[in-house]
Amino acid sequence: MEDAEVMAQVRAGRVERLAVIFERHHLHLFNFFLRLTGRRGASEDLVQEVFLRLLRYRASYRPGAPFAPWMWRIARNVHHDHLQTQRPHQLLDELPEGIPDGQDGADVHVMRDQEALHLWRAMNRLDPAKRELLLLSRNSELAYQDLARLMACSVGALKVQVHRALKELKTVFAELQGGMP
Amino acid sequence: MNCADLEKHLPNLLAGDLAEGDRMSLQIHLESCPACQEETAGCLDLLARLDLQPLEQPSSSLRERFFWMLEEAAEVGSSRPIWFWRPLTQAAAVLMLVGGGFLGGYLVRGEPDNGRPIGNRNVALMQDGTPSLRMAGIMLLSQGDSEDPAVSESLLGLLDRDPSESVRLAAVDALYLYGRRPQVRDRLAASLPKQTSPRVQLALVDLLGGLREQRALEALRALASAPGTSPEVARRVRARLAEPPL
Repeated sequence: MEDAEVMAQVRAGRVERLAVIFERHHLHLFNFFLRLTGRRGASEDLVQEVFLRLLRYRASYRPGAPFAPWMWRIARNVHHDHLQTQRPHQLLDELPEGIPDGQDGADVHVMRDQEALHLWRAMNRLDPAKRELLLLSRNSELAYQDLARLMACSVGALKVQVHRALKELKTVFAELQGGMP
Repeated sequence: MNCADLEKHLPNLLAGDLAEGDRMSLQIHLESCPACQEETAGCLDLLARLDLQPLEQPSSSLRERFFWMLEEAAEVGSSRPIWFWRPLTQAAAVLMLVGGGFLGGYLVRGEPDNGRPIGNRNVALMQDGTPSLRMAGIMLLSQGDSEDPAVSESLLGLLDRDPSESVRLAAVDALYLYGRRPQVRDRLAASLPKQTSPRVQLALVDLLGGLREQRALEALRALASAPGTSPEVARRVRARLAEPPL
C-alpha cells in the first residue's frame, strides 16, 4: 500500500496506521536531522516532532496528493523551528554524538574513514541552508520539481543553487583533504 | 561547447537532467579540456560520496516514544479503548530484535526477506507466544490485504477462541480488510453470539454495521434483546439497526 493511501487512512481517523509511515520513514528522517544537527538526541526529538505534526495536521493532507513532499515539508519546518532555538551558525565541526572518531580502537565503522570524516566536517562548515539543500537534493523520494516547490523557487534556480552548494562543499572538502580546491 | 558553457550545463548534469544533445556536446568538450573534466568529475564524485554515507541507527527509545505518542493520540481522538499500542510496542521491539529486522523489512517492502508468503509466516506468529506477540502478528497482517484464506481463517479463529480480549479486539480491527468476502461475513455474524466481552461485542457490531451486513441482522437483534447484554451494547446495536440499509 502506498504512503498516500496509508496517510489517507490516518486522515480518516485510523491513526494507528501512522505506524506504517513511521517504519518506512523514521530512519531517513533521523539521518537527515543527524546530518543537520550533529546530535543524536536532538535528531530523535525532531523525528518525533515530525510524526507529532503528521498527526496534528493530518486533516490538511489532501488524499491522493503525493505524500513524500508533504512529509518533507513538515520535516523542513521542524528543523527551521529547531534552528530558532539554537545559537546562530553553530559550527558542528566535531563528530556527531555516538559516531566513533577513529581514536578509540573500537568497532570498525565507516565513519572512521578519513575521507568520510572530512566529508562530514566539510558538510558542517556549510551554512545550514546549503547543507539542508544538498541533503534534500539527494533524497530519492523528492523529485526536483517537488524540491523546487518546497524551496519556493524554479527548478532551474534550484539546480543552480545545488551546484553552488556542491562547489562550496567541494572546496572545503579539498581543503580538509589537504589538497587544492 | 566551451568552458563557459560548463557552468550552464553542470547544474543539469548534477540533477540528472541534461538533454541528450547537450550531454554529447559536454562529453566532447570534456575529452579535450582537463580543467572541466576535473571540475565535473569532482562534483560527481562528491555526490556519490554523499549518496554512499552510511545510515546511522536511532536508539530504540525513538520507536517507544513514537508508539506512546500514538497511544495518547488514539486516546484523545477516539472513545474506543486503548488496548493495542502499549503491548504492540513491546512486541514490535521483540520482533525487531529476534526477527533480525523482519518487521521493518516487511513494512518497507511488503514481504518478508526470505520470500515466504506473508500470511503463512504471520499466521504462525499469531498462533504462538504471548498475547503481545499474537497482536504483533495481527498488526503485520493488517499492513496488506493478503489473498491467503489462511490469514482470514486464522483471524476468525482468534476472534472466536483467543482468551485475550485485546487479541480478539485486534482481530476485529484486522478483519475489516477481509469483510468483503461473503464467507468472512458469515463467520463474523456467527461469531457475534459467542462474544461475551462488551468491548469485543461493540467492535464487532461496528464492523458488521460498517459492512452493511444483511446476514448479521438476526444476530444483532438477538444480541440487543438478550438478557445479559450490556445497555451500551444494546444501544449501539439499535443505532446500527436504524442505519439504512442494514
